Amino acid sequence: MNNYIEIVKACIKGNRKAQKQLYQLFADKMFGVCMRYADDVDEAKDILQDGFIKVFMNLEQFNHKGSFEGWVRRIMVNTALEKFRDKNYLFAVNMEQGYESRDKEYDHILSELAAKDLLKMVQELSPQYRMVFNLYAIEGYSHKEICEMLNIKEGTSKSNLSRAREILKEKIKKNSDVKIKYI
Amino acid sequence: MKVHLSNMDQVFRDKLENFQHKPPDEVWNNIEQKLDGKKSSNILIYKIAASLAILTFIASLYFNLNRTSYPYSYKITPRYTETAKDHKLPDKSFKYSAISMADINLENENSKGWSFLQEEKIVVHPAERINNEEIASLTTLPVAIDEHRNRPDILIKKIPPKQSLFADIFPEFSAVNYEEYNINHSNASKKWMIGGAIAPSYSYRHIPESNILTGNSYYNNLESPVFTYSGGLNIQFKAQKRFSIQAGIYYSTMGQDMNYISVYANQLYQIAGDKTRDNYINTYEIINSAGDIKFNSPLVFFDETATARVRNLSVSKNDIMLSETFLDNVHANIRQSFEYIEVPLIFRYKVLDKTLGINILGGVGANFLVGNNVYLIYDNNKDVIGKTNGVNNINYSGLLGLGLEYPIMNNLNILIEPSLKYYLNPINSNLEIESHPYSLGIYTGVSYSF
Repeated sequence: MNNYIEIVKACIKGNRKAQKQLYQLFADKMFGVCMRYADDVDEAKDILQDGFIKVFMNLEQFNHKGSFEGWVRRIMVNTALEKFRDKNYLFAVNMEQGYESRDKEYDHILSELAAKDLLKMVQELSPQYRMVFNLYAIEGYSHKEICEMLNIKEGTSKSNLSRAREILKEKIKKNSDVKIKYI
Repeated sequence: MKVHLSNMDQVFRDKLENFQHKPPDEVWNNIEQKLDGKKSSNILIYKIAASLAILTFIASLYFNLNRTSYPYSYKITPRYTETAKDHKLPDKSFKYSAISMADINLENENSKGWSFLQEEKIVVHPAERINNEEIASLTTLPVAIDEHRNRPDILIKKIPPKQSLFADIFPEFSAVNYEEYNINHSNASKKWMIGGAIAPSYSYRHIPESNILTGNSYYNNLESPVFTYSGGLNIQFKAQKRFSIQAGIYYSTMGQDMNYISVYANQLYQIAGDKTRDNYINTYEIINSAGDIKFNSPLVFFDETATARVRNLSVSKNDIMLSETFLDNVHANIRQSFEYIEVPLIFRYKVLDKTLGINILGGVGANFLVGNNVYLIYDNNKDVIGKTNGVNNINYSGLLGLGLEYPIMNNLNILIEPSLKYYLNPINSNLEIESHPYSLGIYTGVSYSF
């Protein structure tokens, strides 16, 4: 995978072939990321496109110390957040109390669900729940980091997360019901 | 993994963290297009700069032409030609001739104001800037222009989404949480926009109901608004996603018409010999809400409203009765016109950030008086007869507006901005009457972001 260092160098020089290569190398993965954050396919396409332009414009800034993929991914996430902030300039402060519960019964159903089903569930979350869930559960940010990113209170981030989890559990349950019906 | 995840989170993470999906082909095509667009942007800047220069030039021509003093040419007031020295009443030798007002003007401030503006050329330095409006428009914070290299940097950091203006201006004081991928330190994001706009304006003044004896309705009945033009260049700095600061340099004309003043051409002046002709030139003083106007003229001015707005200061020299048959009515208008170079500081807040952008504008401006003329307007001619005395050289104005912007090309927007400018101070601080000029203009123009 280290050969992309060469590709990156060529990209910096503006080599179009290399740029396309770099794009092709990461497009699928990054589109996967974008799809988790976006409202719909069009928005996912926008995020991917804008994100890649940022990548190309700022390739020189990559210091080759960290993971390049991680760097690209961060740009995509940032771009997605940017879009989210643009659309949701005023956040509704949600002080709803969440509760943590561990429903073991769903865990096995969960593991059987396909990534696409899970993605669909995440996509169906309302934008703010989706952001919080993605950032926390999948990207691995802490609530403290998330509340800074989204300009919400830490409590809001927490309650959004547990609410998102509740909704996802509901969806998993429904999904399994449907599956059982068809089996 | 930094944080504890619930079981469910873990499943989502395992399955979605590396979820892949092929994006539609068009995405790459769009990226390619934008990357291409970047290359031509330097040329585009030159094009914009050139068109702005042309626009300025045309505008200056327009204003200069409009201000040229034409010699009088009364269709109704014949005058002896120079050859008719025998003082016979000549029938055919009457000629539509010129009395050059330039000879008798107290002052003719020709085009001073606009030439000042022409000197203020805005120079665009596009050369080294890797300018990329896409970057600029995509993100407020991760992107910044490094002063030394003029290249956008990306800050991969946990961004506080609404960084304060203070933090933007003094990034070194703001808490920045740099991360592992964090590259060079960089200034906060910078986004610039240059533009030019021109506006037809409605200009008048507001006289607060104050302690003046006559009240404001007196002047409101006798004076009326004028339609003028205004235009200029501006530069905008986008401090935050929706918040910009704009400065610029504008030329604008404000003014008012004086009504119910009759103007007559005096036949005696036309037929008088060289020695006696001067006897028919009178010194007038016209008083209105903006100040007083003192001038010499062979024309006869008379206030139709029987108020004391028009005074003939030299009446003893030459008593004129309006009933005289040697007075020919000239259908003329008297217009007070003030030209300003305005340097505004405007704050813009974007309330709608879609393809069509809507901004709310508010600001203040310093207005430097560069032209002060009173015109006599007749038969499409415009002659300077004098100036308004006592008006301030610097005025401060407040501005409110609504800006619509719509992209026509990559970095190029067209703008339509109705805005109201109001002079916070009275135009003439020597008067008891407080006359605050204002103008309502619809600015149309283009702006280019880089």
